[in-house]
Formats: sequence, C-alpha cells, structure tokens
Amino acid sequence: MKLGNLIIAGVVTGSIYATFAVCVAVWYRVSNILNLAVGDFAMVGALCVDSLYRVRGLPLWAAIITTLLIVSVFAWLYDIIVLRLAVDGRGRAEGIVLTFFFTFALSFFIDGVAKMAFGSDVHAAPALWNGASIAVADLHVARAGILVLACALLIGGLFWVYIRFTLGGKALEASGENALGARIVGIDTRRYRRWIFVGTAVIAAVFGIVESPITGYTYLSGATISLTGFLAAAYGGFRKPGRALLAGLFIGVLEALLGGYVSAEYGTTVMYAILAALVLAWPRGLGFESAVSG
Amino acid sequence: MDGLSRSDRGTRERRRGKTSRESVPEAERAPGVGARGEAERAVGERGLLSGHAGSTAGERGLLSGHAGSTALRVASLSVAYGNVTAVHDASFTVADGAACAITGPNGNGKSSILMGITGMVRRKGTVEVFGAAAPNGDVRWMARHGLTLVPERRQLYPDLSAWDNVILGCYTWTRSIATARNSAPFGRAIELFPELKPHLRQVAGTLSGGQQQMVAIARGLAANPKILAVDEPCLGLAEAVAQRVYEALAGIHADGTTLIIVEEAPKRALTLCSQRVEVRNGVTA
Amino acid sequence: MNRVAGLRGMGLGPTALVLVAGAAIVLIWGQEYAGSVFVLSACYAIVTAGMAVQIGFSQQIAFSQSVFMGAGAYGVALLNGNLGMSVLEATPLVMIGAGIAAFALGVVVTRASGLALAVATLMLPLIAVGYVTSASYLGGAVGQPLTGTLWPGDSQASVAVGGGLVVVAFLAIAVFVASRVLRSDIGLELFVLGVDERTAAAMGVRTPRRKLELFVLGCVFASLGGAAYAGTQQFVPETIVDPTAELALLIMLFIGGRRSIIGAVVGALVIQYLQGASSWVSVNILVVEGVVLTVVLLVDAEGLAGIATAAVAWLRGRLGGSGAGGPSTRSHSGSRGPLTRSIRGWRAIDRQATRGSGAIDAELSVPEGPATRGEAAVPRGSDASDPALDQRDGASAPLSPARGQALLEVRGIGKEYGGLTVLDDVSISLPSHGLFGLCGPNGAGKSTLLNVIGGSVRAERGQVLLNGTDIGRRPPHERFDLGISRTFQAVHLVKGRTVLDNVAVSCLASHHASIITRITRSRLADARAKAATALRDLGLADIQDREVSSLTLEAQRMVELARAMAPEPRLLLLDEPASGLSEEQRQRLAVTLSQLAARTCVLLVEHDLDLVAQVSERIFVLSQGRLVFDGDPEGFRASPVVTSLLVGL
Repeated sequence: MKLGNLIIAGVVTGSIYATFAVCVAVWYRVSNILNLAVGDFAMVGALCVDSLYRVRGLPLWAAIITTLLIVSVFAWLYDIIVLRLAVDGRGRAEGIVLTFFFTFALSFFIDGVAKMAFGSDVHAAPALWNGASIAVADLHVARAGILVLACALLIGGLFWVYIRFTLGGKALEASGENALGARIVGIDTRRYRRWIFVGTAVIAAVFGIVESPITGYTYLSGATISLTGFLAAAYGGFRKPGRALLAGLFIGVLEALLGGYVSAEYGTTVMYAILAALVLAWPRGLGFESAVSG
Repeated sequence: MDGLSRSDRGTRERRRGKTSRESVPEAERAPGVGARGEAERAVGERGLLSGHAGSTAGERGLLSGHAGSTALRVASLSVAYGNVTAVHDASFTVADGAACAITGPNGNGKSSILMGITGMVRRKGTVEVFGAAAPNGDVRWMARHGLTLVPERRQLYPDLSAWDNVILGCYTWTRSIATARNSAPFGRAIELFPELKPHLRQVAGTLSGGQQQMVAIARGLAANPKILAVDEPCLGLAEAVAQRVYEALAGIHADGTTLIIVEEAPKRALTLCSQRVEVRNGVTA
Repeated sequence: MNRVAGLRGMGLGPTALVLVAGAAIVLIWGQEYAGSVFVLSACYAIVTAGMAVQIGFSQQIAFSQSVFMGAGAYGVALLNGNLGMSVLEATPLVMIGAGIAAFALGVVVTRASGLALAVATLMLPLIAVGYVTSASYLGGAVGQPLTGTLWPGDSQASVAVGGGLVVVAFLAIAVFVASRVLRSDIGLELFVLGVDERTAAAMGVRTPRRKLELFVLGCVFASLGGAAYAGTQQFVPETIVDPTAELALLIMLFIGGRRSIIGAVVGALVIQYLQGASSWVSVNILVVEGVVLTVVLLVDAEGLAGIATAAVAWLRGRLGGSGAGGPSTRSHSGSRGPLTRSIRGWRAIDRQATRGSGAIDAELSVPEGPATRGEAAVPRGSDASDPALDQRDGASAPLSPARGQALLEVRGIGKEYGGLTVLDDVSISLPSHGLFGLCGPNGAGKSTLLNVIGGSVRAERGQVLLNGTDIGRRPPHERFDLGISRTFQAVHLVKGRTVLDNVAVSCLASHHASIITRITRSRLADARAKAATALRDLGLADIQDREVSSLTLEAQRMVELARAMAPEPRLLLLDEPASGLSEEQRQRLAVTLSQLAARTCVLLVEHDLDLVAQVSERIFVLSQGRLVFDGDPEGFRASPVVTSLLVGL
C-alpha cells in the first residue's frame, strides 16, 4: 500500500503543479508572456489569510475575501501600470525573454514585500476542512489534499470548457496568436490579458489558501511553486493547458515515487535530472520547438 | 466572365433563401442584380481601357436604393509613424452601396489610410461612418458600426482552425457561440467559398495562400459589415485565385455591402469599383 | 538605431577602463567597506561578462552560471583545504577542470536550442543545490570555509588590497576575452546565431560547435568568478549554486544591459552596492531588485547601457545641433569623455573597417555586372577526384561542368513526420545553370524538400547527390561549404548591424577554425570586401552601410539574396523570395533571378505561379509529398494537373 499512498500524495502535489502550469499556459496563450510570478500569488494568498485571521483576528471568511481583493487589485494595478508600459508602450518589450524578466522582477518584488509584511517564518492558512485524513483500506488522503484535487479539476475543467466551447475562449486564443488580427474583429486583447492575469493571480491565491495547511509557506515558497509550475507548463509546450495539466500531475507523481523508493534525500535531484534528460532527448515531442517559433 | 455570372446566380439564390438582412423588398432588388451583372461586365471591359467607369456609378447608386446617403466620410486624415508621416490630409467620401478602390504604388500610404480609418493606428482628422463620428483608435467601435477590415497579409490565427477563424468574425456583434453559429452572417460567410468547405477543420496556418485569403474574407463577412474594407486581397495569389477572390467580392458587393478595396494595380480593382481614390506620397488625388 | 555593439578596434578600450578604474578603486578604498563591496561585485562581474556574450549576444539562454561559479568556488576551497594549495595556484586548475566538465556537459546540453536549452539547463542549479546541501565533504548546508586567501599577504591590508588587485586583473582578462570574441569575425557568427540558428547553419556557421564553445566559455568565466569569490570572501556558502543565485546573476545582466559587456560589469556593481547601501535595502533587497529591474527595463530594454547610449545620443543631439542622428554623428567620437567613448565604442558600427572596404570597393569598381564577372561567377567546377569535396577556399579551376551533367540529384527522397508522409519518393535532378521552379499547395512538402537538400532536415529514405557525391548525411554547414546556399521564408537579418556585415557573415572563410584562432586572427576585413563585391553585383552598393532594420522589406529580401549569393554558391535554394513583395518589386526580382540563373543553379520555391512560369526554365510541382509535374513553363501552364492543384484550388 506504500505505492498507493505515494501515488495519492503525488497526485495531490501534482495537481498543485498542474494548476500553476495551467495558469502559466493560459496566460501565455493570451499574452505571449511567461509568468514566473504565479506561485508568488499563492504564497501571498496563504500568508495574508494567516496574518489577517491569526494575527489581526478577522473572521476566516473576511480574511479570505480581503486577501483575494488585495491580490486582484494588485494584479490589476500591475497590469495597467507595468505591463501596459512594457508591452503596449512605445519601447515595446519584444521577445519572450524580455517580457519574462518583467514577471521575474514581479516575483522578486512580491517576495520582498511578503517578507516585510509577514516575516520569514513558516505559516499556513487555517485548514478549511478540519479532521484527520480519510482512510480507505490502507490508503490515506488528507482532507486538504482532496480540496486541492477538487479545485484543480474544477479550474482545469472550466478553462477547458471555456477555451473549447465559447466564443470568448476562442477570442482568448486568437488574441495570443495574432493580436492585430484579434483587434480587427473587435477583440480587446488588453482586456483579455488583464482579466486572465488577474484571474490566474486569484486562482493561485485560492490554491495557496487551500494547500498551505499541507506544506506551510514562507515568503520564499512562491518561487519554488512557480518554478515547478513553469516546468510543467514547459513540458506541456506552454501553449497547451491540457498537456500542462498532465505534465504537472506526472511531475508530482514522479517526485513522490522517487522520494519514496529511491532516496528521500536525493529524490528531487534525481527527478530534475530525469526531467532534464527528457527535454534533451525529446525536445520536439515535448513541443519546445513549436513553442519557440510560435 | 463565366465566373461572374455564376457568382451572381449564387448571390440571388442566397438572397431568396435566408440571408437578406436589409429591408429592401425582394422584388425591387432581384432584377437589379441581374441588371448589375450586365453593368459589371460592361465595367469589366471598359475598366481595362478607361480606368474610371464613372457612368455606371450613378446607375449602381440608383439600383442599390441608397443614392445620396454616405457610408464613409474621411476628412483631412493624417497618419504618422513616429516622425514619418504616411498619410497626409486625405479626404474622400464613399457612398452607401458603392465600391471604392484606393490605388497607388506600394509604400505610398494606401494601407495606412485603412489603418487610420479603422483605428488600428492613431490618426488625425475625422472619420464618419453613416454619419456617426468615429472615436480615434477604437477598432471595436468601427467593427460594431459596420466597418470591417480584411487586413493586408490576412492576419489569421494560424493555430486555430479555419472554422474558428471565420466564426471569430462574429465576435464583433455577439459573445455567444450558439448565436454566432446559427446566424445569417456566419452562414453567408461559410457559404461564400464552397471550395473552402473541405478545409474548415484544418488549421489555418497550413492552408494555401489563396485559401487563407478566402478565410480572411469570410471572417470579415461574418462580422456582418455594412462596409467591407479589403487590403490587397490578391497579394501573392495566382491569377486564377485572384479572379476567384474578386468574384466573391463582387458577390458581397451585389448583396449591398459597400466595398473599399486597396490595390496597388488598379486594373483589377476597377473591374469592380466605380470610384477610385489615388494615393501618391501619402496624399489623396 | 545602432543599439547593438559593433566591432571597433582591438577590444582594449573597455579592458583598460576596467583595469585602471578597478585598480584605482582597490588602491584607494581597498581596506574599507566600499572597496570590499567593489571586489565582491568584480567577482560577479567576471561571471556576467561571460553571460553577456553567451546570453545577450548569442541568445543561448543557459542557466548554468551559478553552478559553475559554485564549482569554481568549491573547487578552490577543496584544493586549498585538502591539498594545501594556495588559492592562486588552485584557480587555473579549477578553471581547467570546469572547462572539461563544461565540455562534457555541453556536448549533451547544447544539442538542445532555444527554450529546450533554457529548461534543460534550468535543472542544473536545482540538481546542484540538492546535491550540495546533502554533500558533507562540501560542508553541506553550512558552507565551506577557506584557510588561504587569494593574495597571501602578511597583513590584513595587503591581503585585502592584493586580493582586490588580483580580482581586478581577472576581471580585465574576462572583459578582454569577451570583447575580443565580439569584435573578431566570430562575433558576426554569434550575432547570426542569436537571430536564428537555422539561418546561421545555412551560412556555414558551425552551430553545434559555436554553441558548445560559448557554453564552455560562459562556464569557465563563471568558475573564475567563483574562484575569485572563494579567495576573497574565504567562505563558500551553499547558496552560491542556488537557483536564486542564478536569477540574481541574470538580474545583474539585465539591469546592466544584456548586450553590453561594460553594462554587465556595471550591473554587477549596481546590485552589490545597492545591497550595501543601507541596512533597510539589504534586508529588503528583493523588493529593491524587483523595482529596479522593472524600472530599468521599462525605460530601456538594453538596460543601463542602453539608457547611457540613448542619453549620450540625446546629449550629442542637443550639443551637436544639425548633426543629430544618423551615421554622421558617430564621427565626432573624439570629443566625448572616456566613459562615454568606451560605451559608444561598444555600440557604434565600425566605421573604419567599413570605410576600408569601401576603398576596396572603389578599386574593384571596374568590372560591373554579372557579365564582366565572368570567371569568378562560374560555379565551382569539378575536380576529377572528388568534386563535391572541393572546399570553397581551395583554388579550384573555374571549369564548369557540361550543361547536361547533373549538379544536384535527389533520388527517391522519403520523409515522414509523426506518421504523416511529407515527401514520398521524390526525385529531381538539376544541371549547373538555370532557374528551376518548385511549386505546390501548402503542405505539399516544398520547404521540406528544400530543407532536405540544404541539410536542416534529414530524409529517411533516398539520396542527395551533389556532383555525384552523396551528401545526404552531412550537416547544413558542410553543405554550405560544398556550395549549397539558401534563404528562408522569413527574413532573418541581424538587426542593428549594417547590410555589409549581414552579407559578410556568409563570406567568412574560417568557419572551421576554433574560437581561439578566430579571436587572435580575425578575418573580418576579407569577408567584408567579398560582401561588398556581392552587394555591388546586385546593385545594392549604395545601401551597404545602412542598418538593416531601416530597410524596406524588398531591400531586406535583396540583402538576404546577396548574403546567399556572396559566397558564389553552385546551388542556390530560395524559399519564397517574393512573398510580401508588390507586383513592381516582383518584376524587379524576376530580372535579378534571371541574371543569377546565368551563372548558377537556382531552385526557387514560390507561390506566385506567374512569377515562376515567367522565370523558370523547368518547373516541378509537388502535391502531398509526391512529384506530380515536371516540365517546362508551357507545359506547366497547360497542364490540367497543375491547374486543378494550384489554380483551381
């Protein structure tokens, strides 16, 4: 039953990676910008709720709503101030690398602010669903894990339906593929970019709140989550949210299995080595080349 | 010539069906189309020789039943990119139901005029669509008020299917995919090029240049335009394909849509257009 | 806008600047806090100087620097601690070791390109940090102290000042090597590599080798920086290999200016001094870095170096009055201050060399047009023994093969992509002269066939014979050497460089030399002279000093054509040269193509059937990977197959 439990744990972690990968992939589809700051919004979500609830004594629901408001207002401001200047302004930042560095600076900034506001200790938002982990035979699932999984499925499903079956979703794809062509049919590419940016930030924050009871966050946790989500998105070819989701789940399960069977100490190291080998052996199959040219 | 009459027939059949979106009674219009078919042929022949086919313009205005009303009025339009002025003080009007060719050598500002009118780039000067002044730099306003651009180099969404590309034209007037799918403009757009049918599921980036141009025009038509502005529709197309594109444009025009066609070579455009705006060095003549 | 570095002089200017200013700072403030911060930032600057070459100019984004910086630091610490070597003795050993390790790693890693390279190397710091924190012999999460110092002095002061001077010397060496790389002819190759790898390979650039060399160069620089760090800080923290450390290095590079070596050095200084500026900043460094990076990038994508350049240009515009903008302003460089000049020097186009080739141009201006070029224009002919292997450099006799003999023979080519047959048993054969059209609907396999001939795609079945020799397994750059030159659908010119330099890339005769020989013996002038001739042939002499992005699309396509023609290929592959051109421009292109066809064999892929029929003497039509038509233009126009496929759609 060790295998079963490891897989369950892996799926739970994997669904976190998967969600962040989906956020990265969807926003990349809209804006052609890789967002390295998604994980930082998750960290802010968890730590901010914790601070408001535990330190300031707000009721939990008020803490959560305030946190989500703060995150969305901040993301919105960032978009209309920085991204607008960077992407739409006169000295347009061109190329994937340069725009990537803007989100990278954003990640630094958020982490720094979080350190100022919440200190550098490990905290977590209070568990939303209390109680011991649920056991079926010898399999154990943490309640928070179930919530995480449910959220991941819900978000992944919503995005899929939206892109696949609505005109808005197609417009979203169109604005990333050809901004000029999108504007012609009246698609407001900036607004799509803004809403998806704010939306992914809020989704990330919700995830942070739901997930933090499992692992606990510090102000630096965001970067790690982002990185793994980013990698999962990369293995999904960046433009394909569905594949990003699968890649996230795969990485989570791989990590859990390696940690359980190979070595707790070197498990992640081996995992990264395997991931690197995969990229080198099969770049085209993983969609890296099309992502670069497209 | 064969092609022209075929497209006219197609147009008539379509009108008799479901797609008539104007209030002009069938009886009034149907004969007109036939007559216009004749007129067009006449222009086609004369256009080659004279360039300006002024005499048919009035005839056409009468036939379309909107004589006198102005579809588009452009007054002292200027467009600049940084320090370079591409269009300087351009003024012209296009009557409702007319077909207007904007001609002139490449790099003289033809496309910039369209870009300025549609608001894709910032402009100076006024642009009025059916009497309403257009705000500067607002492409969505233009699309909603009935002026749709089929841009140079088509600007499709290469990773989406041809069908998706066409239906996104409906985004100008609806957000519901079901409404769009069952709408008359979309039906008309999909039927415009029957030869495109087998390729509708294909990803647009893999279509041939001619097919892509057809998709672009169909997308423009799905936006349900009153004025369709087509920028260099035949760039890089083989002669026969270019003819096919013009047939379709003639069909769209016959349905009562005002056309603005930007072409470097006036020859082909003037087979269809009665009005000509010549652009030289960013100045209209 | 010439915003990208040019190739001026010997690369001594920035080196001297770094050496003099650095030594002065160390001598004056060496024992104080400010001096120690300077020394620390100099250690990082050694690393970022290498990154500017690798990442900024060549666009080879590899996240390997922090790992090799760590390797350098730990290497020195171990050699010093376990073997009792002095830090200065250990440094070259560590660099050699790092070079060997980087070579071994690079052989694997640099097979990837673009995003794949970035993601694969992103794993390196992740792997390294996991390993280092668990490895007890490296001190684990505690870190590794050093007993020795970089400069073995007897007093605190001599250790600090001596060590500082050594670091400055290291930095000067790094800056010198980096600037030499960019200013030699290999710099041109790296610029093209930065634009598009396939284009670079088609221009004869040994892309795998250059990428490997760049990777090793970046890693060796990083290990030197790491050794300097260990020697001066006397402690190696485990965070040195962290992904965060890698990101910090990237921030320094991007703040300073990714395409400027001085900028990269300045970026390291700025970040280190910011950290030391006040305790508030050092606690909240993440916020500060985030804000600074955002603001700098918003102002100028080329970082502080870009801002400085723009400021200088603006000032000069204000002071110079009429001489604002354009090449004329560059000649005033004598009146500017030393710092300004050195920054300008980086970015200005090498006027002198351009003028030099202009002189050659004038001397050679007697023969005009293709007809008078006669002998040189005849494609390289057959050498009885192994004609295809006759290298471009070799003095081969201009003996052109008989008209009937096939220059290129493609036999039974088959190619599949993921189960989809793209080419199916395609055979064509081309003689040594003439223009041949290749048509077909989209997805018919035209470009793939071109890629198979050019070498960027390898066919699963069939042979590609050039003058009877099978070249089917050779990489693109070798095929270039054998006389196959090509253009691509999209324009891939190096922005910020002149037309002349863009064309000169394909004329570099020393592609096979290693980076070291190339740096010491640059043959840029020869290449530029050859490029000037090619440009004059195509009637482009008057635009040779223009910066390419200021040109119209037509002119850019012509420059690409010139670049493909300049090395006098036997076989020229053109992929849709007319796309995006107007009718008039097409007609001009048609004339040029017909002229080219008189001296070489041209295979033209084009959508414009009228153009193809007009210029080609024979036309091939592909459909769904099969050759469905092969005949002359009359047959082409009349053929029902062609009509149904291409015209009727």
